[in-house]
Amino acid sequence: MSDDFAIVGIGETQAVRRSSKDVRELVVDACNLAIQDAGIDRSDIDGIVTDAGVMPTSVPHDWVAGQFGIESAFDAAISYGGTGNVCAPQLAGHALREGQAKYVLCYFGVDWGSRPGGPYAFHDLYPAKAAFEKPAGFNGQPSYFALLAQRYIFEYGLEPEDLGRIAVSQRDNSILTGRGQMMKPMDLTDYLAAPIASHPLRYPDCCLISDGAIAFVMTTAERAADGPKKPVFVRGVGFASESVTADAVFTQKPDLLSFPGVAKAVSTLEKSSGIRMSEIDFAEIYDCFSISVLLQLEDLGFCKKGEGGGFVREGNTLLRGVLPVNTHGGHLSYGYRLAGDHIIEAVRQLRGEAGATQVPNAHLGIVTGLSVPDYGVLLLGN
Amino acid sequence: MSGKITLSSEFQIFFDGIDRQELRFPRCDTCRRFHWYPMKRCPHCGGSSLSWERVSGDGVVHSWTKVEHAFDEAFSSRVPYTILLVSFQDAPGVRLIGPLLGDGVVPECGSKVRVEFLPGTAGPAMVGFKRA
Repeated sequence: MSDDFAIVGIGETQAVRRSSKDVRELVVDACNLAIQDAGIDRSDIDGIVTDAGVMPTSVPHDWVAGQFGIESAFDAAISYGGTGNVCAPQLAGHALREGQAKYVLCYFGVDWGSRPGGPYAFHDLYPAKAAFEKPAGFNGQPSYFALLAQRYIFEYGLEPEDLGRIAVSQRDNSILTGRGQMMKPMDLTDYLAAPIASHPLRYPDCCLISDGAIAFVMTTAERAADGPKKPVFVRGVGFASESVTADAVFTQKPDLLSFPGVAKAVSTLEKSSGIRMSEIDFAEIYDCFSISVLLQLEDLGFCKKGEGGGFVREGNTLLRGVLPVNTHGGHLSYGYRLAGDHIIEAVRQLRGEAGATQVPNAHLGIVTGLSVPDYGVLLLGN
Repeated sequence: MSGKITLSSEFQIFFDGIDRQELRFPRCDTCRRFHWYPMKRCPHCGGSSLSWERVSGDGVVHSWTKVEHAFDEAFSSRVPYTILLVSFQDAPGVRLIGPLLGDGVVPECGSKVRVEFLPGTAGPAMVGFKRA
């Protein structure tokens, strides 16, 4: 995989806590924006790819095809949530390379801000969680990731400020975009004064809950050259998973402090693209929680295990650091469309359209998707 | 969540044990390894013959969190409360989630705890942990 296909159109609705529109309408809005941005007609779309868990049960492919008059020649889905969004381009690549489709649409929308149960309801899928965890009051992602953070404190040591710096720099970035869901300034003192959700995680360590949608259009490099926008090439996709069920992964994985699949996904990506993680200019890292960013910085190889706090403390992940991270504010401050926000931002960075958060000379960036036990890394370049 | 919990068939033996104040975990008769959560076959070797082995109930805190925000409405009157993730020397590979019972002093990771059996209220009986 080198530069044979590209993202040529992007669209997003603004992430909000509660939208007056339902999730299908939000998806339609995002798709229209992406199609318009690509400079094509909706009838040009002949392929659809999405995650395989969330969209098929809320905004299914056939409904989108019917709404947009799409005669689908290719239709596929992978993983769920963030990993699904990050790896959907891999499916699109198959179709585009084989000539099965000319323009492939990827979309993702959520209404977890307004739906009863929000993101917690999703976990009711898992019988072991219902039998062994919920009755004990162990319910909700903040408590799952709090267990990881508490274990990290025991094994390596971690000051509240170490997580705080991640949340604070992402809030700064969100404010700079002018579009973030959370625009209220927050410094380290504000962070430390914020209430605890589940020890040691405070509210600003947790992702937002959003209503909103994103969409993007992919096509071959040849067609991309005719589009109105600078093509952003898909340089590679790494997907990996581990043999642990999604309800056991937060408690039973022998080493709780490395996310499943990351090392394998990275090595697959590096092998197929010929590009090493050390060469990238920025990283949009799946930040369901601040601790997730810290652990992935280590798992992805940007620093050693136990050194994530120091890596952030040195300023490496700031907009002007050696590895700007979550340049738009991420899920902690910009919006929570499960890596969708991150893909849109990475495309903006590589087009040079990121405005106040633009990373100078950005040529290569990654987007990660964490959907334990699945993991995905998308490498984009210009 | 206060409604009835539907148990997968492979979970039932655990709760039958709890009713008798016995802590039991599934162990493969072929490879002799424990696994958790309960599966239909041994996930290590694929063996179909599993026995539920009784363990002492002496555990070690692997991690913990004190929940301040009621993510689950059923627990809104109970926050803050502490949840422990506990491993067992006599059942390697098993970690159990349970509430901290007793004086509320949180045992740090690595410290010893002991299982306590709690009668079921809305759902099946369950277990919690006390500092040893």
